[in-house]
Amino acid sequence: MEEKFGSRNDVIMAGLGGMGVLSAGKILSLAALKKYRYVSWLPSYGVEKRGGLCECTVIFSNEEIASPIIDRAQSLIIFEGSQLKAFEPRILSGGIILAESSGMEDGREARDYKIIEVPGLEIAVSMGMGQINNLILLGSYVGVTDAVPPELIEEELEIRYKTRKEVLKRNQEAFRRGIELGRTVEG
Amino acid sequence: MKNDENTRKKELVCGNPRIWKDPPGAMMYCSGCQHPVIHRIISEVLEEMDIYEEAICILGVGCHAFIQVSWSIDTLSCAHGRALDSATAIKRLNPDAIVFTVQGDGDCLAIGAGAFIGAMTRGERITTIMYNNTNYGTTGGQLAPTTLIGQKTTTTPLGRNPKLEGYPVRAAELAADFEGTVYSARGSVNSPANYKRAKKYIKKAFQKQIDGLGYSFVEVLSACPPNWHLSPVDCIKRIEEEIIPEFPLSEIKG
Amino acid sequence: MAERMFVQGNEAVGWGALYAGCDGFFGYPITPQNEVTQWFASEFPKRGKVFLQSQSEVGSINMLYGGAAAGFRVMTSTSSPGWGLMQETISHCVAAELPCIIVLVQRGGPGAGSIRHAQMDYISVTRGGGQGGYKNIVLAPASVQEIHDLVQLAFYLADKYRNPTIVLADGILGQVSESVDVKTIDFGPLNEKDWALRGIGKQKDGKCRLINSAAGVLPVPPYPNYISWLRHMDEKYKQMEADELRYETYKAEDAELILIAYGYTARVSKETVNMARLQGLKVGLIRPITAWPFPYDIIREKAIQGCKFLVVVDSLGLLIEDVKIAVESRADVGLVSILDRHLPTDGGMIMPGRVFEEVKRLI
Ligand code: SF4
Repeated sequence: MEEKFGSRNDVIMAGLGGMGVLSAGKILSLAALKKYRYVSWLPSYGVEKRGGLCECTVIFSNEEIASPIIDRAQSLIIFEGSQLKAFEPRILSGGIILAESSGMEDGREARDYKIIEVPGLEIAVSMGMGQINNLILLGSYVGVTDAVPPELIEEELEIRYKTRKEVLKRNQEAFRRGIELGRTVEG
Repeated sequence: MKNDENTRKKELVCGNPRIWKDPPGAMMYCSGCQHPVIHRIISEVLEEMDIYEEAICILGVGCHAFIQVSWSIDTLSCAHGRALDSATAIKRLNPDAIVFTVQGDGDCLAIGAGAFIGAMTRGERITTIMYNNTNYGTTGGQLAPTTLIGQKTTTTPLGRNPKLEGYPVRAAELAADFEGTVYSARGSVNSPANYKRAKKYIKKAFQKQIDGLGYSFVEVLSACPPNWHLSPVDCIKRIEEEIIPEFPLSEIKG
Repeated sequence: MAERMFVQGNEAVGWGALYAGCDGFFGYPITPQNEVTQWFASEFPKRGKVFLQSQSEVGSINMLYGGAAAGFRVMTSTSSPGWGLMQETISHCVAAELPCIIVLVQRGGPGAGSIRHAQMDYISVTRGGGQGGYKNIVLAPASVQEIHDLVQLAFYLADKYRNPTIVLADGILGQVSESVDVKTIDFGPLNEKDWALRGIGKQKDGKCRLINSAAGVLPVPPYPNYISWLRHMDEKYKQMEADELRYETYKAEDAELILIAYGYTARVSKETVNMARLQGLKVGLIRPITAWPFPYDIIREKAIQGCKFLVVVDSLGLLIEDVKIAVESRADVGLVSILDRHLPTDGGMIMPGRVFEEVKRLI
């Protein structure tokens, strides 16, 4: 990734309200801030805060970010498999889509991007928690792209869940599982 | 004025208040208008309480606002009805100032109703002196919220009809109803005795502000001879016979 | 020393104001700028500064009138319907020569319109939207950093000219978060506010101050009458035009087609310029940073050189009127408007890809 896109990374995350799309994007942004000169995070969601379509665009770069709004990104993270089709047009050629495998429909056209199915929900359930697949997906993204050092994300998690040790632990575990998953796929 | 400590401390027994400019602002008013009389009370109170150096006056729009050219304290003339909004900000930013609004009944109760309610809701530590002459003086004697039932104005040529124009608003009672209001009274200047009483009310109102307790309000009845189509003497009679029964004089709160 | 932070556009208004030495914020809740009000509510009182939620936008602007008259740095923030409500007293502020800042985070209109981003108040903002025909400097940031910077500049310019200054943002800029260097920016010295109301005991000369907005009713010293006062105002506006024009040009030097945009659509347009340049197309951008005064001259110059223009704005046009004034019929002026959003909803926005299509069509 680094070579192909230089010192810039951009990713569109999409899902439904309540899935932790925006917060995953925020965590990534804050982590990236420690490594990159410029970071932008643009949320977009429907009128209903829960259950409606929800996406954010995160860009981090050492060059000035011309626009926080982009049509297509190097990476897509799809939090709800059934939305893959709708968001496919927004990946750059040569990019990577990480998609939640549950809810995914068959019959996609072959295109010039790589798709990685992440059984985030399944893993989360096997870990006994449904609310953490956003971090499994974020972990996979970091595992695959190495866009930010994982420690920076972990630091962010520690700040975010400073007073809620249990939640912190769960999120860290989920994030680490995601990383592992991402690295295996890449290998 | 600041350097003139000695003269300031002496009791003034006659003549104009010291903070009045020469020639006095009363020259701008119709003969028999009682607005300058109320201005005079405020000036006397500011001097007697020795707070005129900290005072900032915020004016509404109407005949009452002519005072801006006739006294020498810091004064802000506002958008119509908004004096209490502007006063709010000044007091919040400069809590040591003595901040008071001078407003007419139309300015305070019609166009300025939102600002009036807002300031009382928040219990702003400011003082309002509202002049009530039961009509819009400056613009030629139109219906005001305080116009009496049956009173003829240029926009109620047949007299105020409650079915069409509703009923007079009693501002001092309304103000008293707010928890943020710590003092509310209604006075008049139609007799020397009432002059003294009104002055006492205004003094108390300022004292509440100095004590930092909340919003204080004094309504003062005022004559408007040209628009009432009465001689100055008959205006005083009207106040006694028609207006005071409708707007009773008293301390309603505090 | 700058502190590097990750800040939402709406919050950057607060940081900018804080570092500009703002004394008081007066505001009324309205979407999509609620984070501004909330920021001041949580950050100002603990620093000994004034935050007050007014009873309406009419209340807010009249609080600014008072606070400014008393010599304080005061501001409010609102969105389009609130902007409409404030017009009367913005005009009074101009007339009374009271410096204050109004941040307008535009949303869709007319009426209650939408609660999302748009750029539909351009004309009322740049033409003096209230009674009497007046001018305010209008600063139009296009990034979160620039919101922070221009809020500070706004305070400086307001004090310099004793006039309200408008910061013109939009719902996208309000919602986006970006990395920002937070710091005080020094614009140079300003005159003391010896005209402000403080109570005569605090006036250096012991003389009273009177501030009013009716120069035609009561002459305002040193102007003997209304017309001489208007002449003074006219000179002030002319000085603002001469000295305060700000704009950015981006790859405009050799451009055959120039995009013109402010605010969030200027960012989208910059991306479009980059896309076009990758394909060897000579496209550039002129971005007004002051929407008033407007950069007519540079646009006219480009028109004389034979450039075409494409206005990119999230409204039905508005901005295009200024561009047409500038080019004086010398050049074609195309438009990508709110009708070209990628979704036909209030959540849709103008995207670089759509602008690029239009670029390819025009060039
Ligand atoms: S019109 Fe009425 S209120 Fe105005 S100055 Fe004359 S008498 Fe006084």
